[in-house]
Amino acid sequence: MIIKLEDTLDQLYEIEGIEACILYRIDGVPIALRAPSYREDLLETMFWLEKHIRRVLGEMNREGLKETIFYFKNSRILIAPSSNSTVLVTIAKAEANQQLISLEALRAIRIVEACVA
Amino acid sequence: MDFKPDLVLFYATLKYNGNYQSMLDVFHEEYGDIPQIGASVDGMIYPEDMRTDGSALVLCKDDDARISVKGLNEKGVINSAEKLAKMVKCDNGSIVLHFPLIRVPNVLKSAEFFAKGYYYSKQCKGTTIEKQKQYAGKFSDYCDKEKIFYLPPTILEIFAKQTNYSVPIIGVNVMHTQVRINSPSIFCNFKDIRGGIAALIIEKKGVNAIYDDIFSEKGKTMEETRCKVGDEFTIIKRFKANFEKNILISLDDMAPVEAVENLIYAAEKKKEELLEKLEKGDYKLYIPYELLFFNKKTNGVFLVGIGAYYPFEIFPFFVDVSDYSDEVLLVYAIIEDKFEAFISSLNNLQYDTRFAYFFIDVSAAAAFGNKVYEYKDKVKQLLGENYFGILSCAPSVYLPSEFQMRNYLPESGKNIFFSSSGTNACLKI
Repeated sequence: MIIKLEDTLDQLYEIEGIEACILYRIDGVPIALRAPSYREDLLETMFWLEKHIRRVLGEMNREGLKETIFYFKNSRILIAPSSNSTVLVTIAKAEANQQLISLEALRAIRIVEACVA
Repeated sequence: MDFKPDLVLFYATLKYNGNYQSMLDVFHEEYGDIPQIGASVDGMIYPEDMRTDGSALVLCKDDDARISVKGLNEKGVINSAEKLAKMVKCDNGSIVLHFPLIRVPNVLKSAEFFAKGYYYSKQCKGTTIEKQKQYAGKFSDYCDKEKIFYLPPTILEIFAKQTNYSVPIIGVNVMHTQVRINSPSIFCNFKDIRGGIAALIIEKKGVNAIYDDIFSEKGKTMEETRCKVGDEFTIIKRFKANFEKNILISLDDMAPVEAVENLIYAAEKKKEELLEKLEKGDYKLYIPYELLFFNKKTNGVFLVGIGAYYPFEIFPFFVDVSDYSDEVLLVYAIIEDKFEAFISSLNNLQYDTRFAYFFIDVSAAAAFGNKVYEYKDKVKQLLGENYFGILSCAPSVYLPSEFQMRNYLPESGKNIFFSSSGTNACLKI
């Protein structure tokens, strides 16, 4: 199961335009992540995510949303619950093909869901 | 591998742009003498999965079929199509053509295209209609010569004529949702022929070609079609258009984008901004507002999206509208209930074990977002285990009348169907 999870994250991370993908526990603790070595802007985003993910998920649950996209100046952050206890966050470049990345993220979520649930 | 394939299909997404040839070289070493066809596409559907990233290699075997692949990359689109058509022979079966819908050349050529566009736009200003048509005609010839705009109905007509209008021909119009420099690419016999045209010729009795689209039927007269269009689309405005071949010169005597910019959001963009977007691969093509042209000969219609794609005034696109009425509508359609219709050609297939090779319009992803992922299971349910489909721009088709199931609305030539979105096609081989 762990191998399948890791492989799914690898595949998602390899997609052109994706800067990082992180599997979080719903309380904001990262379980697995794929990101380039050192990038201050990405670290800042990740700190922001750790701080806010619980609240974002709470709001999404309240509004019945399946996924949320945050538009930052240079990146897009796609947050989508992948099971009752995990959430998959995909960080993409602003110019990346959001439609197609969204489909690949959904595919990854289905696999994570099957592994975790 | 326990069999010798008769055909290799290879498709890859834009991620590998620039590296296609090295991938093809690897396959060439393995399968060198086998016909191969493919292109750069936005996605693939196969029994195990649906992907919008990566590449797919499909090895096909059919003892009853004679399969060959031919391709050309000569100067000029029409010239290439004519030369290639002469190399093609097919009495029974089907032909699948692969060509770009729009090919974005390198930075230098793209800048030249913009400069030519500026020049002819300027020449068209304040002159007579005859002169405007003359300049637009020259720009159209330039676009053909430099292989920027491919005209699917014209290309299909060339191949249909060559095959005595006897076999179905599918045009895989290759274009990405976000285009960039030097894309898309066509692959033919393990060569990346870039802006060339490739033809897959399948000679076999009983090959079933199915085409369908998301639209209702055309009328028996142009008036009847007008009424049907009024029911199907929301008409924002009617225009009197001035055009020559595939170049729209003006709408109500105004530059095309200027005429619609207050009706839809279409802010003007500078050349540098567009070139930067092309280099980054952030040049988005899909927009929901379309211009609708009425064909005077077939009573069908042609739809093309309109937006600020170019930094100049005249508006080139990918169909020769010489046979179309100068009454043009700016429309949009609510397609909420047409999710199933984007794969409707698959509904009309008999369930058997024959290989299904199908082409779905990727604009479904723009219209329905992640819901498109449901196609993966729907297709599996409809086709079983033996299929391969690609997600790219809406396919075009030449379909002899015995293969037609209804009076399709987007008939752009006799038995030729094409629209910039909403069509789908399938071959059951």
